[in-house]
Amino acid sequence: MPGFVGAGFRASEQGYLLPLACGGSLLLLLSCLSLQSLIWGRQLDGRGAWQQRQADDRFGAAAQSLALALNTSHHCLLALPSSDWPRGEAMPAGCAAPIDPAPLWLLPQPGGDVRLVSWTPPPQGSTFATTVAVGALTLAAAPTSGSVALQRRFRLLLAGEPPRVSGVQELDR
Amino acid sequence: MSLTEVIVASLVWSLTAVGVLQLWVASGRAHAEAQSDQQALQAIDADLLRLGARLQAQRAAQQPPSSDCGAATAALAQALAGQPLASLPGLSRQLDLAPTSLWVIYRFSQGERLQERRRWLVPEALGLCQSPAAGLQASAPSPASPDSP
Repeated sequence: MPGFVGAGFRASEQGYLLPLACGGSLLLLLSCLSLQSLIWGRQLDGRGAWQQRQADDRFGAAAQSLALALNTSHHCLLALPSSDWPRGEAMPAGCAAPIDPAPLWLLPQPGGDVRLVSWTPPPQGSTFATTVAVGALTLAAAPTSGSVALQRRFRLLLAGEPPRVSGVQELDR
Repeated sequence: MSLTEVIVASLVWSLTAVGVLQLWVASGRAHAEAQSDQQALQAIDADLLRLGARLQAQRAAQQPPSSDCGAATAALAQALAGQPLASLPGLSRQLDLAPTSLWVIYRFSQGERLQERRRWLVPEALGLCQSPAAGLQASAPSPASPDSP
């Protein structure tokens, strides 16, 4: 069988260098790519951490702007839970003039709007003059298409008579 | 082993070596960037923590709070300006003072990439001052528009 013998001769004549080079190259490339993907993962995590901190800054600013409004232009709503706030301009109990709480529901911030989810004032019996009472505030990022709405909870410290917001603290997530 | 095989094998090796070298350089750069990002974030967090402690101390020292929110804002800005920021290449802090609020803007640049953090501080909302006409102000700032710098 001359053909078979010839083929066997050609196969044994081919050396080990080319398969070794191909195998080694493949291994090297694969290990390098896996390292690269690990580093890309870290880079993405880092960017995610920046975005999270930027969101924290936005929520903090929104909470302070709401606190400022509850101390000034919308002070008569401070003692009312947000569920009792009027829809549109009206005169809720405790207000001397008609007031529209609409600006408190959506708080535009550089980088993305924040909306008010709920405001719960401290219980009526709290003695603001001598102690600090705590109200609960929940804010959420205004929904954008396809994203999960982030939420943050804050404590607003109320003191004085009439009560005023005297501190804004973010609760642990 | 033929001469052709040696040449092809060398070619395969050299091409792989060049490709891997480029990937290594890119990985090294990405790793350094990720590390700097992390360091900048930690430096900013540390600065904000110091700021939080300062605010707390200031609030405790000013009982009852002052009635001049403009002065409280200016004092806060002055105190912050004197607070050293960790020295990291590309990291800077800018204070943007409004009449009754303060923007603290951190910028971190790496090559062409610029990242920013903006912290808004309102002394009145933080209990550092009380405007005298609380609840009666007709021209109170709108909650919907913190003056962006």
